[in-house]
Amino acid sequence: MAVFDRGYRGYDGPLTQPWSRFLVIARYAVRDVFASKVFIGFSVLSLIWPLALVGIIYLKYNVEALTILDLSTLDLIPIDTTFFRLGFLRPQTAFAFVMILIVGPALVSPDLRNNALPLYLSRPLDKSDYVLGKLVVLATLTSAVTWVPGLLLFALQSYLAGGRWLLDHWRIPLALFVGSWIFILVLSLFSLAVSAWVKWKPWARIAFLGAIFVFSAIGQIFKLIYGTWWGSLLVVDDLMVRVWDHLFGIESSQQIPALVAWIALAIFGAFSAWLLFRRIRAFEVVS
Amino acid sequence: MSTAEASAVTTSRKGGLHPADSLPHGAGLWRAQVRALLQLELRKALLGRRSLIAYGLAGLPVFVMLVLMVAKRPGGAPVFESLDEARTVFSIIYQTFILRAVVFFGCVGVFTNLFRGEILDRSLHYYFLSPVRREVLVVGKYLSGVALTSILFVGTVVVCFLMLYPPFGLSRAVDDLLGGGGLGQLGAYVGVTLLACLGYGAVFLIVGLLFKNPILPAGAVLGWELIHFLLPPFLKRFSVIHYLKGMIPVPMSEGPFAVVSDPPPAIVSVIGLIVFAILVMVAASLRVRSMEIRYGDD
Amino acid sequence: MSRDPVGASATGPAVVEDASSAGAAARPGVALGPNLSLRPNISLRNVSKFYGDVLGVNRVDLEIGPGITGLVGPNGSGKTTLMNLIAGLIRPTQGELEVLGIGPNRPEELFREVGYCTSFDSFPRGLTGRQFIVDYLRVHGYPRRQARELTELALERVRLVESADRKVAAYSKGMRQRIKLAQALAHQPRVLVLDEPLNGLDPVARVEILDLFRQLATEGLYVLISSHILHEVDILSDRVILISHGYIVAEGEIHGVRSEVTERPMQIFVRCDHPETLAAAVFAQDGASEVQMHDDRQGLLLRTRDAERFFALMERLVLEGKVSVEAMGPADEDVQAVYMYLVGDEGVA
Repeated sequence: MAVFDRGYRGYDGPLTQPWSRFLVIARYAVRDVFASKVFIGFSVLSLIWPLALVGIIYLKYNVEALTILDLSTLDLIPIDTTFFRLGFLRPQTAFAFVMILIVGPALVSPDLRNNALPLYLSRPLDKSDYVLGKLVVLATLTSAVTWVPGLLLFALQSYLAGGRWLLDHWRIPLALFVGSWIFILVLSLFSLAVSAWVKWKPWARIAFLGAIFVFSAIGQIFKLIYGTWWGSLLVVDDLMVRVWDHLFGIESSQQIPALVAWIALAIFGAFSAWLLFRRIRAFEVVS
Repeated sequence: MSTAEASAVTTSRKGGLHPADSLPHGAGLWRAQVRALLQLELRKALLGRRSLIAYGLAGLPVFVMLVLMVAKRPGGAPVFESLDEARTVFSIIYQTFILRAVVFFGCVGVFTNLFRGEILDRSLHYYFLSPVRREVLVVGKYLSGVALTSILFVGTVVVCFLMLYPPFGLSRAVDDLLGGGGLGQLGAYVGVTLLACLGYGAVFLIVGLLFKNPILPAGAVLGWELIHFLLPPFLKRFSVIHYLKGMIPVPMSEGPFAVVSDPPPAIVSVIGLIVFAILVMVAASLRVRSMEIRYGDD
Repeated sequence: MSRDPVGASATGPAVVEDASSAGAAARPGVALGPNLSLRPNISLRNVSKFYGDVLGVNRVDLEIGPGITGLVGPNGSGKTTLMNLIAGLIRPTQGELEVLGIGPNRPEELFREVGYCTSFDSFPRGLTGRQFIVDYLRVHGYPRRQARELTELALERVRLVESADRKVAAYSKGMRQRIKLAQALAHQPRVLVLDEPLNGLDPVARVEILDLFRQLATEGLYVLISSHILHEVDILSDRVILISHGYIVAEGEIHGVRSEVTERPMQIFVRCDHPETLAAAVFAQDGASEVQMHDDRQGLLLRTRDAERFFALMERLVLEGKVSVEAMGPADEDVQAVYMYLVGDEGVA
């Protein structure tokens, strides 16, 4: 008769709530990201422009300061939808793009390269938790430079300009929030998908930037040669611009219909998510 | 061969002769080593799964040309209505897509990883343990990168250029290629592509050696090359595209905001880029000479 | 440059009492002058390697002759750094190092003489085992035909000929170890540096590879092997280098090292007909610190600080016919025991 001497006891203490477990992945990933001084420096840099815009809004409503500083030209800058759409969202999403470029492709590839996925998924975590954890990292970082400062800026302007201005521009916060999230989700999912398929960090970053740039170039060629909007279907930037303009309710420089742009971005995001989930699995296929 | 025989051969070196004693010395040895490096690097690069991205990149312009051949303009007119128009279209594709996107990103991928890739794969020590001068290693690896990108992208250019002709028939194609300047244009595009591989290759060879994360400097170089047309003439000299532009057979307008300056003569471009590549290799050799194997946790 | 191997010269035992004074200690039988040893052995004099603020190895003085030398130490003790230094992969921060008279400033010559089987379980992508060896031999400068011949010899030695045309990526761990070994051997170096070469090998392959090492040693090669498996080091090499926290703790022939560990009583086992008599005599002589009787009461294990005095006692008792000895020998004169005494029990098997 075999005698099994069990010298250990399984953990029987309290467990965290299942819904919150993805935060563990996010927490460690964020810690790794902020271990880079370059990234910290870039994060600070990306907040300089919103601070400058805060200064502009503040000065615009401070006649005394404008006079003392002899900055009367600032008074000519209208604080309106275009200010938030072109003056804020456009440059800030550029910063967010670089953040996604730096962080996104490096999130999944090391786990795949080191065969860590079976370890992750052998915990009480499923594929969705894993992806959500990684997505939260990108969403947190990019939110901090897009819609969060955007809404603060809007709040400041509303406070200084009064309730009437707020009522007249009610679309701006909505457009800032939704527009930023569309940008964040679509590009984050794509960067994670690239990271999952290109196991190697430097290649993944190059592939992410290269794919967006190369397809944009193809789209621009088609637009130039055929003179139609359908080349824009390959240009993520064109699609984003059209959707943002639609959200802000302003005339767009892009000819592509808003509905088509919405659908194209949805398909792009869904395709990225499909690619990503295909690679996230708890086993290794030995070929 | 039995172990005993193997042992006997190994032991024979005790008598004095080592297999390496019969090897050439000096330049002869270095040539043999560069050849071996080229073959080994090309074998790894051409047959590896990682090369699929490069192949895909090289195939994209062909795909674009196919679309242009098949899909007509709104209204039903073909894109390649005349040979002149076809050449203009090709020039647009070449300058906006092949040169600035395909060749550029191909060179980023291939050259930044010549050394960085081996560090990440933890296989650089096999080279560092070989009796090969580090300078020879740099030259061998750089030439293998040039060979690989040239094979891929010159091939792409040739195929794409020849795809201009099918709508006009074989005899017209032969006439144009042999007597109408088509071959000359093709040669110019091939030459520019080779020089682009040489120039961008040198840039990204050193970027891969100096930076652990080459994407940011590569992005900066991309930005610099893209705003080249806005730069004052003095600064234009510090971009690769400046030396290539003058040799492109069908020039393209750079828009109303471009700062116009005369491109350098072809001979200056060729010599300039070769000298630049040599200088970069000297710098890369100095860097590689001081490298020690300490694989990080990448 | 002469390529004739130099005859073996067993370096005398040395236990470094004070690691900080290691640099000053000259080894018996080793002529160390300003130009290092006159013999073309592997010589390190006052060699240190720092990675920034992190110590790799510190003030190492070593003279390694032909034959098999075991390098033993816990994880992070500096074994790989020491091997990397000898193989020329890294350069010392300070000190002088020569391998067969070749310094690190002549790397091309050095790498013809050194074969290094590293602990990195990584290979260039996409190559078969045979291509891996042939292609890197060609980088040495060998023509294709000669590279192939050398490759076949190396593959034969590690018994990997049949699998040589498979991709290395598809190899088992043991096969990867063997192909690395073949690659290190292929250019017929005189110095073989092997970092944990037995990792992942199955028992049969282990025996074969151990035989190969012995054979290489008899051919006059300098074989430096690191291992965690003290038992294997014990049966493979008489000479060991014990390293801990970047310092050489001891080096030399194992029994010599053991005899210098005077603060630890030597353990001796004796199988005899009257162990009680022997025990009484030992205690009467006041030379033993501990005696343990074997369970069958046909022998004993004793610990003594004065082995010479004990052996004299034994001789007298046997001559007087008071005990009849069946077997006798040291019980702790192996790498395991010496390692435990000098380094402790971290990271060994």
